[in-house]
Amino acid sequence: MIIVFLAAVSFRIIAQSTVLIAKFDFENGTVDKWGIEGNRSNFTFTVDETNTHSGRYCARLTLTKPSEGERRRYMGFSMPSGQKISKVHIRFYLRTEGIADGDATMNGLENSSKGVVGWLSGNIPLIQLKPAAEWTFVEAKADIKAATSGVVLYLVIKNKALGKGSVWIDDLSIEGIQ
Amino acid sequence: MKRVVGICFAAMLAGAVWCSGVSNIAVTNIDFENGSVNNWGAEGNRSNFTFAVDASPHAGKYCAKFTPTRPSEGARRQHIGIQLPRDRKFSKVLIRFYMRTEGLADADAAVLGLENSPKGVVGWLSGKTPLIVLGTAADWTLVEKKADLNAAATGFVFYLSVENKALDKGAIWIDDIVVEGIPDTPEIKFSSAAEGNVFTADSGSITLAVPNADGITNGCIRLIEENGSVLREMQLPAGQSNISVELTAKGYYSVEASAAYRSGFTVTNRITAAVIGAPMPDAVRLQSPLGFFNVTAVSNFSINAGGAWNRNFIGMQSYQRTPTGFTGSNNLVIPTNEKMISCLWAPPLWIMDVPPDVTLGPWSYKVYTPKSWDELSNLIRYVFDRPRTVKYLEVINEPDAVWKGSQEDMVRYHAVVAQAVKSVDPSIKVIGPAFCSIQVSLLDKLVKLGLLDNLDGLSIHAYVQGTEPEGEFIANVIALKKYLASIGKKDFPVYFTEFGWTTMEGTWQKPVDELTQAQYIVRALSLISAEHIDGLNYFCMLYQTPNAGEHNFSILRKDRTPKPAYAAHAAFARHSAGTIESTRFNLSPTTYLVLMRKDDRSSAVLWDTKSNSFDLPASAACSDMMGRPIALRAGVPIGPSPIYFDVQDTKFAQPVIREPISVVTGKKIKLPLINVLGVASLAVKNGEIITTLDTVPGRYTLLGKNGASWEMQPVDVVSPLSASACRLAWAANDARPSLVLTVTSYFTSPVPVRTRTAFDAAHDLFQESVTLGSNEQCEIRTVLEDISKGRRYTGRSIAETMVGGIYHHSDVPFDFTIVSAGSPGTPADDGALPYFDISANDPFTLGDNAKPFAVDDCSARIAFTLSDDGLRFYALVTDDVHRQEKSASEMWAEDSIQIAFDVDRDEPWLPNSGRWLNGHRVFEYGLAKGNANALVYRWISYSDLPGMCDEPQVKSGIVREGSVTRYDILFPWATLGLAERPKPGRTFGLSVAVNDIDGAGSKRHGLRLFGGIVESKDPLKFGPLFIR
Repeated sequence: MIIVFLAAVSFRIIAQSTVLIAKFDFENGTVDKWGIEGNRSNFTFTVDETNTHSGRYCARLTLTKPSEGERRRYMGFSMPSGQKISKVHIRFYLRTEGIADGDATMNGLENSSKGVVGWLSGNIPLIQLKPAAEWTFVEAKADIKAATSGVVLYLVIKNKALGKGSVWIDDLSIEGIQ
Repeated sequence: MKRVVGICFAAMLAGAVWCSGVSNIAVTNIDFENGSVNNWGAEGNRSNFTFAVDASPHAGKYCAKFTPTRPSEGARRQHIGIQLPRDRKFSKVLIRFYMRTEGLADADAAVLGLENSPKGVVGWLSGKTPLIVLGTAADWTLVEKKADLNAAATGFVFYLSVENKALDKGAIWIDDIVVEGIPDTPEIKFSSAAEGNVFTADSGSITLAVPNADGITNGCIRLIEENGSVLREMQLPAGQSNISVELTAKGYYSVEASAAYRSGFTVTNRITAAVIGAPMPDAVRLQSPLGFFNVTAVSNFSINAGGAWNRNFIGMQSYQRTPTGFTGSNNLVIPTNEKMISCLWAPPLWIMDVPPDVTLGPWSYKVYTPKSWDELSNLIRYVFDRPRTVKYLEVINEPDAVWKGSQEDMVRYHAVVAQAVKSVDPSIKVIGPAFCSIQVSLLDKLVKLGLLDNLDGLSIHAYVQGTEPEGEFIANVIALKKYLASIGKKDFPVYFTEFGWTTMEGTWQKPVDELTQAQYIVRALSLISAEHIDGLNYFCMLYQTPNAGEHNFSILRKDRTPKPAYAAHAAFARHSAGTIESTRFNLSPTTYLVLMRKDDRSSAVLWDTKSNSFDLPASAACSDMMGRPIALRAGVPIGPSPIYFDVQDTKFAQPVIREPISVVTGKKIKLPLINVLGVASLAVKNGEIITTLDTVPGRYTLLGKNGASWEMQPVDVVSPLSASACRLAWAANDARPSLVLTVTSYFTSPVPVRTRTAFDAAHDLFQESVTLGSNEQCEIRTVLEDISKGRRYTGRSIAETMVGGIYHHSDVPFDFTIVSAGSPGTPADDGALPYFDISANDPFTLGDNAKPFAVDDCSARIAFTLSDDGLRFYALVTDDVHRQEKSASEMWAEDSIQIAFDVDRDEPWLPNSGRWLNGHRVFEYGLAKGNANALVYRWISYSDLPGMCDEPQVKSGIVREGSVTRYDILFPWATLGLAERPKPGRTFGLSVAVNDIDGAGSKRHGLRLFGGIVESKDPLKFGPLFIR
């Protein structure tokens, strides 16, 4: 028997040229390359395979006790050399448990060989994460300054009082738009 | 016999192949560019032919055209004298020219060379007349011949000769005649006591005659097997002119010799040989289904290789009607040491109802409905009413290509011929329809019209597209046998009167190398042996024809020495002799075992299309594909070259076949057999089959012994989730293209399946989960979002599920580029001129690794639109140095664009169909800004249009603006073989190559959109051009 399933998604032939900067599907079974800021003992950041968006693994940030400050995990990406990138397009899938609106954000910091350039799009946070019981698509586009040679993405738990709850992310990509 | 199809081998090489060699000495070059043939002389009555310049050349402005106008009493010849250099240092000449024909049959025309000296005629070039027998060529075809010169010759006369006296229409064109002297070099010569170095014994000997042996400083002789392994290497003894090389065992051998002389000169030569063992007794051989279409080989070669069957043609064209009956005759007495299938060639012109606007040569292969069915019947009776031993008769050769009437009349033609033959001799088996390839649906239509009602057997050609026999070849055979069973004709005799694989480009089939040809023949014959085919005429033993692709179906070389396939066939024939019944098993998805039951033993053929190993039964005697003994050891390696083994136990080939058992990848299952034999790729330990997630799914078979009986245990290793057939689709009504993945679930209960389109260099696309039931299959379509037109995307489509805490997935790779052509300004085209950049897709530098180029050096943006007028192609090529000084046919070597189309990409390939390129209209055009004007040239045309010619119908605007060359090209639909604008939703095959050269010494480099032009001429490598 042949059944045809057709996805209802929007389509456009894009005129702008895009270049992939990085993708994280966590299928290598590790988050070791993600950096940490804040007290390690009040949260964990691991791969998880109980309910992924795709593949075998996703990443899970789990709060274990309240903190004195923001809790952050981050990953840095270099801009592709020789390409004039004017914007970045960040996409990922999100799921939360025990997290309220405003508890968590995604921030982006631009830097160059001379140091920090500024926050992506001049905004902090870049994305306010909303509670999501099921996997939810999240995206944002941000302008990139000419001097920027790299971007650091931060997954941030802003609510210091939170002692439990989880954020899962999966299939994170960042593309440059020329 | 196969016809030369409309493709020029030289055209196939346009821009694809580079070669070099020792320089020959130019003697003459006749290109007719002075617009005259006045320096050519005529022989015979000029009023029955014309010879003039013609403006449809191979290259330049002119060629020469020889047109017979009415029958002649003798050969008609046109000639030109060629003077050799006075102090020539050569005793051979290379004669090379291009030709094409219309309305001529094979051997209707020839080239002769008559040597002369100041004292008069010396003799024929190479002592042969004719020097070259010309075949038919719908398109310009390169013909080359080396010829020996007599020492006294100071020149020779080149004759173009129409040998068929009866020819009163048609034409032959000739162009670019080049004669070169081949510098004399000492030559190592080989000889043996066996014709063609085929030794019908268990050993043989090749003798080398080494010139100037006293002057040799170094040299060696190497004996090489078919796979390139050096069996023996020995020094060439100094001072010894004649050396014997002993071939001490069965097998295929290449003998290579080289000698270095004190003068600094080195000569090399090679020859091949086969040691095949004693000929099979006739009583055994004639029971075999094996055979050949010998074509131009003598029968000894076929008989020695174990062939029982042969095939020939009965020509009827020369039969004439008289007031009282007919005149004409054929020899219908067949040698008794082979089983001949005779095939009737087309009937004479006068009996066919040929439309008035159609001109046919008398030897045309086309068959029209007869003017009178009674007259056809009477003629057939006359043809056969003479001494005869013909036992098998085919009615028409490849009627699906040559029959020009209705299907009803094709069936009636078979009936009338069969009834007429049987009225003369009821013992003759009349068979047909000898289709070009196995086409069950077409066969079914004709069967329903009564095709088989008057036939004693089914004959058909079993060609495939050069693919391996385990694929479409055996699938077609199985489908045919299944069809016959479905119509109550399970035991209807079946004859494959042609099938084969070529080893050179030049014809409709994709070539394979010589070793692969040998492997494919043995594997095909092994696979077929379980299907009960009554006759198997491999095409062919030797076909002497100028077309390299056609010739290289042969398993003998032109000098009648063997290719590996000859030795392999001989070994298979001997190994399979006496088979009562065959059975085929898959020991793994890539491992094949064919068991042959015989009176006194069991024989087997075993191979793996990749690589594996297998534990043979302890008592087996084993040999390789060429018949060489193999020392038995545990874990015999098996690969694409089959091995043979015999077991002195007739029960081995009659195993008890148990019910299949299934195991899911990653699981174990208890095996109900002990002491099993199996392939290494399926682990068996402690009575259990142990699979991992990496075990390749598919059918495996394990062998075991239970008392005196052998048992076979089929094991189906199943991946619970299987993804396959990832394809690109863009239907007319869809706004966007999709990637379609076929997914099958073998879980025992419904599971959620999700898919991910994982790009190597873009963000991934995801699909919502769908639920698939047990053994349910679905197509999951991912709409391609955020796709850049013209950009090459690679990655994997992944189907996945999580069941019981275990992650299961199945991946299929993809590699696609979206290119479309629509009306200018339509939304799909994103503006009036939808340019896209192909610079990064697939850059190339001949003879070097691919690397991207600087934008200023070589970059390109292209676009397609379409209208009722045709397909419009735009290109903006940025190139800092423009160079194009070649002729149109050679433009590919400098700055230019090659663009190829397959306008029938949506249609199935029909191997050997005789229609275009296996049912597809395929073109390759060249476009360039020349010194004076735009160059537009068509190298390849598989269509009714000629190839190797300028195409003025293509409207070209090619201008240079600074460092940019701007192309604006309109291909009217007629130049693509189409009558009108194609409907939206269709797909063309497309390939584009942008060639760049930056001055003297620069390597040709450039950009590609899809393959199939630069690296080889292969429409299967074209990509899709979606018509919107």
